[in-house]
Amino acid sequence: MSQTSLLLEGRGLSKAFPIEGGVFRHQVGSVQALRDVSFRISKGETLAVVGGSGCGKSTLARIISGLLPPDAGTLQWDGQSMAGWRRLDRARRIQMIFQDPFASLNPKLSIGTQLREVVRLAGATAAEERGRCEQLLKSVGLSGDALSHYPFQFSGGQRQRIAIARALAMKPALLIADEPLSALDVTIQAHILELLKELKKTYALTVLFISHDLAVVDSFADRVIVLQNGGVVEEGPVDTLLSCPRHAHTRALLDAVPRIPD
Amino acid sequence: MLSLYLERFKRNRLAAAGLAIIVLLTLGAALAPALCPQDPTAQNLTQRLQGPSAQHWMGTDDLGRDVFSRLLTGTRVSLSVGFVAVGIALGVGTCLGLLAGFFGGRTDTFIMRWVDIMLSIPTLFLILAVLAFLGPNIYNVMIIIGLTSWPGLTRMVRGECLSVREREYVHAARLSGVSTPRLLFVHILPNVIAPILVSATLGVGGAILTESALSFLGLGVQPPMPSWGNILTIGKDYLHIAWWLSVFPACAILITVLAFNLLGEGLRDVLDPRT
Repeated sequence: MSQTSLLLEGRGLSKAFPIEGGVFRHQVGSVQALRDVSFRISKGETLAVVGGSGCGKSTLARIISGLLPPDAGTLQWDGQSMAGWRRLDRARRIQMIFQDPFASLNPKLSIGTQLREVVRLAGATAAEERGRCEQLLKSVGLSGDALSHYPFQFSGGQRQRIAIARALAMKPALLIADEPLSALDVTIQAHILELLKELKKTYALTVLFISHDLAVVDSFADRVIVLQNGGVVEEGPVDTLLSCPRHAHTRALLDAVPRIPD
Repeated sequence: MLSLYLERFKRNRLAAAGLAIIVLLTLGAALAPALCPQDPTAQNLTQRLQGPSAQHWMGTDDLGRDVFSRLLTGTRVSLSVGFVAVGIALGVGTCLGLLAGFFGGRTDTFIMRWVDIMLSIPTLFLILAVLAFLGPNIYNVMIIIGLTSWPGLTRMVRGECLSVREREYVHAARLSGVSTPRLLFVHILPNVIAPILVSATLGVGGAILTESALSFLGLGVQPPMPSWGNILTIGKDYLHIAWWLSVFPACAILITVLAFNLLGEGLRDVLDPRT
């Protein structure tokens, strides 16, 4: 893995959220969500970001995806700055799937409408649209009938599959998965994880996998970075990091994994 | 989704009644020239101030004109003023509200302070002043009512937009590269439309009331063209000898506004996801 080329590098990323208060809603303080976080993702690798809740995992995902601007720090894509990127430039390279599949699909638009607009933005002609949508749905294990339906007609697992299909429509190089399993049933989790592994292979994806579930991380990720209070406390290949953690916080996270006695 | 709403709507009898009245009134207004038993502007001074009878169902006015025909023709004025004024308010209010809620910052501050200013002006007096300046006619009435009734709507749409723009599906669409106008009108608007519809329906009733008040004061629809408001103006002079001149147009206003309010309240119940 160490020989592969670098896809994305973040240097010194910081983000603080203001706390407003008082009569005139002026800033009375701030929460430092990320402090000086640096990371590298190589092409084709799966980098897991783990940590307890409130450690800055989702903030990092939102900064990389472009939903939030960082206060400080830079992101470099393939050695070039991402600063001048337009929305569509970003969309063609980076896509994201969200934690809650009940919130990430627009309840008022049919699946067809939501997939078709992305397929169109990805450059499909009107004639190709439908076929491309059906192919995307097929690749996540759903039939083309889904196109005429609305999100409320699907289960959580099915919705997450649709959200994944939408993310793949742009043929991104990097897929950010922000706790894509944690809102799902345990059995469904296994299916979606299998799907992600399979898609990673077929689409040659690089994945930034955000999770607090170390068992999942163990089976999916190549490398792990551990966040605590917005800062990186430990980083390394998944095998060594999970088998002999050096930082106390990583050990605490490992101990927190519930184990079912054999 | 739609069938669920229809099912709920059918169970809401008051709203259905309101809708039925509105449909009837709209049909009546559309077909008024054919339905009028007599020419609403034809004077007949030998038959002035006659009470309701088989020939004149709602009596005649001080110039011997048939009140029923005049009321029916007035329906066209009331409904068209109501719909057009609310249409204008809806367009302006929704667009400004979406812009304020979506972009925030200075855009938001600018639009909302403007809303505050508009809300602090006594609307009826503003309308009176503008109409006195521009001259009273039905088109000016429609436009000026429309242009003074958007601020409440803007405030509401902004509030809804503020919450909807932070939903994950909006983030997801943005990350998919969807353009900002499409984000606003295709992704956000359908999710804020329910309260807009309710308030627009209630707004039609309000606009009809304002038009009646303006016509009553002589600044709306000008005689001999009939409107509910100017029939009432004549009625007030003859209240002690010809009750039908006041009671029928007043009832028409009451029933129409009530119908729109019932429909609006009904829509609120039907479209509210919490019920």
